[in-house]
Amino acid sequence: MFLRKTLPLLICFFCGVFAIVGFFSAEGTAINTYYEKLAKWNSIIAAFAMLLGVGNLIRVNFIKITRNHHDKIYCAILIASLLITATFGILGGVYPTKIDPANPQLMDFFKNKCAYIFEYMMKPMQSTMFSLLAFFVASAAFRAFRAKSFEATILLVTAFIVMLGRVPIGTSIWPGFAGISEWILSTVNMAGSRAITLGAAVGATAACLKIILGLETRYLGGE
Amino acid sequence: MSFQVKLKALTIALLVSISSFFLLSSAFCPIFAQTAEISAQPQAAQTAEVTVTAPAAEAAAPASQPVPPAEVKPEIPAAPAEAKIEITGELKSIEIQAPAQTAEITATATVQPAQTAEVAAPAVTPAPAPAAEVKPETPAAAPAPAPAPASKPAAPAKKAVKFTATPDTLFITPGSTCDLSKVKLEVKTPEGEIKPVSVDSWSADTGSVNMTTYTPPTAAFKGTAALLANYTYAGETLKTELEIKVRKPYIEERLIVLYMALILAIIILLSINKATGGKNYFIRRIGGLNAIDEAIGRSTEMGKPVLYLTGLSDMSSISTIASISILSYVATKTAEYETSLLVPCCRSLVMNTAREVVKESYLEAGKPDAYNAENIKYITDDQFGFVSGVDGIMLREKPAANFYLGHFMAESLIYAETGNSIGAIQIAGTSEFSQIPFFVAACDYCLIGEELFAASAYLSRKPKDVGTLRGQDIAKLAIMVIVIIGVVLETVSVINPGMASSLGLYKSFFQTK
Repeated sequence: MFLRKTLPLLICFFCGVFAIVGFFSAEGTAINTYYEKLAKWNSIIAAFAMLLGVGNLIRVNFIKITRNHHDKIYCAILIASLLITATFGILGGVYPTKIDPANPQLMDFFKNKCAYIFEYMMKPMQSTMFSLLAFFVASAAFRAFRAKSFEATILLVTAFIVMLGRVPIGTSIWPGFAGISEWILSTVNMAGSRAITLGAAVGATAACLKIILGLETRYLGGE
Repeated sequence: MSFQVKLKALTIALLVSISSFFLLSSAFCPIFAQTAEISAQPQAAQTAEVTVTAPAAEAAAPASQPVPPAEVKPEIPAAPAEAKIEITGELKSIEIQAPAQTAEITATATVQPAQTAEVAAPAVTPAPAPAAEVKPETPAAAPAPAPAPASKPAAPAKKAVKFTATPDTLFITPGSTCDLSKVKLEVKTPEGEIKPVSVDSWSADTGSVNMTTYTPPTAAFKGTAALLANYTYAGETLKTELEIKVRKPYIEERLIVLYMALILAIIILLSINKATGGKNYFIRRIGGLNAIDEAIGRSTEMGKPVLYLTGLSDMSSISTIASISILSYVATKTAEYETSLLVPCCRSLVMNTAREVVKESYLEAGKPDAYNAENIKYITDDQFGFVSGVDGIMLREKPAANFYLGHFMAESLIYAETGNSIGAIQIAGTSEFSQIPFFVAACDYCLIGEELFAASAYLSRKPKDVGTLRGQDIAKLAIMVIVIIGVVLETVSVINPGMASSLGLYKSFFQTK
């Protein structure tokens, strides 16, 4: 019980209070110095955790391959991708570098390959997923803007005006659309967004206090 | 074959693969076949070295073949040293002018040691070669390369010494003096030796300074003072600058945040105290949270799993912690109904926490056997990689209820629309303002802003949670009053400009850095 509940809560309390005091202490004070060191420790621990993570990833996926798991092909691809990318990244660097053909180097083969993988494999794949948004926005807007109630009708009209104000054709129809659109965004929308933001900030502060004071323990598992 | 043997076999296979990879990579590396080196030694003490980078075909020529013609006329200034010239392109002829009557020119293709040619050439150089390196690049197609530019004799570089003051920045509070005796001035010689340097005098741009103490100009002075340490090193009078920052030990501009947080903490603690004392507080109905039971019940009836996402952020995000609290409730319900709960995670720490929370919930519900750790899995940290993974799970497993509670970014609509396409009942909640419209448009229920943080209190109805919720409401009421006063002052200051100073004072009280 002490190791599972009390000790984590004590650590959480001291770290939380220390972080709060560190936030308010000025540069050069002892607390601020240790506060900054705490952030560095975080990075160092994360670096070691990364090594553990790579080892664990290989272990878990290798076990799946050896046990003839139905996803073994994906496990093999994952391990191969990890090793190839890591080899290129470690030996050739992760950032694009200029290769001088007049002065070739032994490691030239490895250079830029990691950046190439990110530029021509990772980014296109990410963009592919992101581009789905264009279609999803259209389908979601179609469903949301159906004038099935009074509120939905207001939403539809407002959205229509804002859209007209932000595309060239709208201002060419009537220049006043731009001004109305800007007013809706900067006044009506901003008021609502700030209310939500303030409410969320207060909620987040209260949740933080509950965690620091040990009133919220669900994240440790159970009550 | 046992698992250990397989593991060893794979390790060996990996090592062999990587070694082969290195060896094969040398075959693709173009450097070996394209370098030829020609060195000329006019005199024993006067070496001129010419390095020629030739095409692969040229370099692969037999050893007996003479060096291809090229015209290189390096002007070697008079200095007893070594000149090195690199030429890229077709080699036509080489003329070396050196004081000695003969020079030996060696062409070497480093890919095969046998490809070495020795050419005897007259060398008439009026002066010895200097210590310099000349690398003219000649276009490959040019039949007659341009002559190498003359290399200037390099002046002997003055080796720099480095002076450091430790510490280079000192901090004091207003009204106090700074002890300069703790400042150590050191010099690092080119040999790497560190020697202390004694300061002859100090000077400051503001305030007064003597050999041991710096005093700010006034007791209320706040800011930065620049100090110069004057000292003598190797007969030269030098200066090194250091800063003294005069500031309070706390950041004054952030004090308002501390006051507000303390007030909020007191209100919350008082509210919790009242709630635990037996006082009942009304909590307004939140549709999204009421629908949780309905969604899980629907999944149970349909025999399909429940999908729960905690968002992109790690456990350091308060939204994720709030989401984990709701996950605890959802897991208890799925355990009671014996419905499968899928929790794909974007962060490894979140996965571990979620596993622990779900396991405890199943234990509390008396169904520890129904818990399956494989259902709570880590996918990837990458935003759109995670999206594609979750979309795949949705399309394969076809969950009947989807929960998106936590911190979401651009991927929110992709989840919501994919979930909609499989006909799942969807409950979303985020404090990220920019994503709320997407969830409102595409999901059945949406928790807006602080409703996400109120969820644990709403679901559990425990006094400490309800008390916290009441504290939040009182804090929001206080903020509303502050905003209304600000609006009134702003309006009045427009009507009556004389009130502008009051408005400025009011604003400055709430301004932070």
